[in-house]
Amino acid sequence: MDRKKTLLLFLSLIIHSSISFSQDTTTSTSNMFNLSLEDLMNVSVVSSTKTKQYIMKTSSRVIVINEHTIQERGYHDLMDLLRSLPFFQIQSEYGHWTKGGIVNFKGHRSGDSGNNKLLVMVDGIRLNDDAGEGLYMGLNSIPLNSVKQVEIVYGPNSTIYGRDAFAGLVNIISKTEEHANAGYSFGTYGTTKIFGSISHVFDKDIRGSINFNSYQSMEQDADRHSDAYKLRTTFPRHPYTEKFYRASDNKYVGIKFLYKDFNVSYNVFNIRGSETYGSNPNLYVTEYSTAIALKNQVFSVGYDRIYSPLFDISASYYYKKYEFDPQTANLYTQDLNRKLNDPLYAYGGRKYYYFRTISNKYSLNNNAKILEGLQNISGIDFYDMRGIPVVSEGKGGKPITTREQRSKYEHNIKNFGFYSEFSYEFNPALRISLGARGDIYSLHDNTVMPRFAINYNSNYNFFRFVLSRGFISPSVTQSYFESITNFSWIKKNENLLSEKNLSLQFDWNYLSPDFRADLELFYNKLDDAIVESVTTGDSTWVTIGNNQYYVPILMSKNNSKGNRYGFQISGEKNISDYFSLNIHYSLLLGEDEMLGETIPINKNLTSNHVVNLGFSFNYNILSLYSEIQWKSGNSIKSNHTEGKYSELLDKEGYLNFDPVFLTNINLRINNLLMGLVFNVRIKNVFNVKYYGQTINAQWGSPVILQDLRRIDAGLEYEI
Amino acid sequence: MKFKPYVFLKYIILSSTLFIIFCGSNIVSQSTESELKAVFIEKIVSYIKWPNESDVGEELVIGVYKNADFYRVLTRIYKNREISGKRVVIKYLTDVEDVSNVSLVHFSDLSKTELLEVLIKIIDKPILTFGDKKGYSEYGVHVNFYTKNDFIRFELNTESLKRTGFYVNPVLIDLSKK
Repeated sequence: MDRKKTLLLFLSLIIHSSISFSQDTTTSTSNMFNLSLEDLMNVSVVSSTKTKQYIMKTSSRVIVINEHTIQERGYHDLMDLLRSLPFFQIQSEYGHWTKGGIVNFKGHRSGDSGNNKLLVMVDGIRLNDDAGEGLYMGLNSIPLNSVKQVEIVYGPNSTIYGRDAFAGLVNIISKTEEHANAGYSFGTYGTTKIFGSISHVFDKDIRGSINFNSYQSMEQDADRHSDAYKLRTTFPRHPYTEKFYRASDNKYVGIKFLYKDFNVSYNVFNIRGSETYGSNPNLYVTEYSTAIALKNQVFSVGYDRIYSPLFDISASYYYKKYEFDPQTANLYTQDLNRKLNDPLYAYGGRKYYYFRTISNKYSLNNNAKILEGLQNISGIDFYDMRGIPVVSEGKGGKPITTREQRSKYEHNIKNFGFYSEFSYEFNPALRISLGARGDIYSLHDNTVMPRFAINYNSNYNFFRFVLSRGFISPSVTQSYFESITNFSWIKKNENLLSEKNLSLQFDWNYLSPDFRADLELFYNKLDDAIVESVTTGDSTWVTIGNNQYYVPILMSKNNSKGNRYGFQISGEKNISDYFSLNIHYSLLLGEDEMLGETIPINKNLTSNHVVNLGFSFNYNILSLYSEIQWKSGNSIKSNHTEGKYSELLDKEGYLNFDPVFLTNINLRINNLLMGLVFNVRIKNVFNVKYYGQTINAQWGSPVILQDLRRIDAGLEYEI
Repeated sequence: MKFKPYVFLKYIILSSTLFIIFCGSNIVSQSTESELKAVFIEKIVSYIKWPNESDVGEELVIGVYKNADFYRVLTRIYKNREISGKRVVIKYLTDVEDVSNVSLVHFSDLSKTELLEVLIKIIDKPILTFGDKKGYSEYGVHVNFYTKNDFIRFELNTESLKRTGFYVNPVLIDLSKK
């Protein structure tokens, strides 16, 4: 059935596209006019090798989304943007502190501890937690209102960036050119967005910018819409979960100052969201009701000097503090009546936890042209991290640790990394790169991550082959786990190794101002994958009175390996000065092997097929972008074999998620009055009700209602 | 666990076939260096102000001196497009006397003598000059394109711009050095 539907969809898209294309093939330069002068000079990227390079000559495949596209398509935050790109499958759950857009990139699902398979940076500064907890905040809390471009690197990039650049990386380049903008929008679920930014060029040596963004929403009421919620038989009790809570209150402030070769920046993300993953609804009565606060701050100082056309050097330091602080308790119903000798007494506040990491990072990078055609990029970096792992704090619903007590769980971790990559240009068409990075890690194993790349171009055709590796170090929480026996014992998990990814990738790009096509094929081999889930056996049944509970513990093991392979093919065409069309199709296949069992990735929450068709129309002051996305179905095994939720499972115990067909529209009326823009954005136009998952269904909430129709309308002003 | 090449291959063949149908007949229009330079002109002009507002009237008149190909490219690209809010008129120039009647002029492939002959006519006039040959900047051309490692670059003759009274945004000066 699915196969027929897929084929039909494809044929309809092709027919639609062919009809559109046959109308007019007049040469247009619209795309080029949308670029800034600097873009025109370089089409430059900095993410792949920490130095500016022509996009088609980088040692990794890079996609650049510029400011114009962000505005035209109505991308408000990073989640909006990534979910439209090939190989990104994003579970969207507004209101969750970190799962507000959790990333599955190329079939690499993020772990329970946050988005940890993709490195996310702002102006080259890592937003991911340095103690390995991943990107501990939702992608929807990273705004794009003052962004020059977003660079997305496909494939591992640990050769330059070390840990976390496992499946790829995203680098958000903020605007430092003279500009000012501000905006306000209001939408369904009481969503309010306010943003503003000013960037000023004082003279050729001094620039400064400040950027503010606020997102507040009550989010959709899953209690009313979701079938899964309606199956609950136990409901929150006073005082803990009297009111359903799934609101968001995200604030971001970024300040940047550049003087000659020096730059100073401060970015702070202040997020208030909710905890969503409960378990059996009759066990975790408070699911979706816990308020969580996060404050992530990065202060950075950098120096970037071009000494000559042959040599440039950059040095940087940053201080980063990640703090995850629960606001309300999350308890079992039974906690309210539990006594001191009850074995789950301490476990009652399992979800009422805290963690905090602080890191200092020093780095030095240089780019030198050694001989004609020979270039070298080298660098060293050193991290000093102090992290308190996830600490359960609930005993009877009250915090048990003071700041002093928490501090005794603090662990110091150090990492020293060094890398060097040589590129040799035999002629303007052929370039070969070879490099490696070594990391010495004080907590677990050391790693060496090589990369080899060949770039070849002929006229408008660009070919690239890349062999690279990526890794993720065990997080401080994976390293120091809690024991079920006394709930406060924290012990080092001695034998953990880093997760590793070996990648082979080939891509072909055809580029002209009117038409762009690209094809990418890849194969990833995964080793030492860390599993935190209960299917590892690291969970146990606990009996309390007449009831039995399946209780997970945070013990991680390198007991999985697997592979991912697939390809994507995409095209972008300017039909005329007014119309353009883009389309991509991606196929993702692969398996995970765990405890002797082989699980295909489509039975692990990954869709095999995704088609995305975008259509833009620009006429005078009107700009309309419409996007259609189709994703094939997927499934995941669940342990909820008893109780109400078991009604959601098939005979083999799988939760099945149907294919999804979504339509989004963004309308802009530009230059209404002196730079004023009116904007309407409708996501999930037809209000398709569909479900997804964020973490493991075995102990997470079985199905999570994904985004229903959301309409936002607002005004923007840009100078 | 097994890598299944036949499944992979099946999908590649299917989607490639469809893709070729999708785009096969459309890989026809290609950009040229001239088109890119034409776009550069719009971007660069947005960073420059003429000495007086009256120097440029309702229309921005661009003259292309003895380069018919570039004239055709500009004519096509600026058919329905404005520069800094002004409608663009492209003129093909062959006579040195006509250069004084435009707001912006583009030169390429002129000998040093020929170039200087034109420049001397407009040396103090508010006419923005664009060149397209190495060394033109040294002769007094305000903005000169050149290529470096397959990228288009431009240099500014800030002395000449200042002397003529043009205001240049520092950002443009910064970019010209890249």
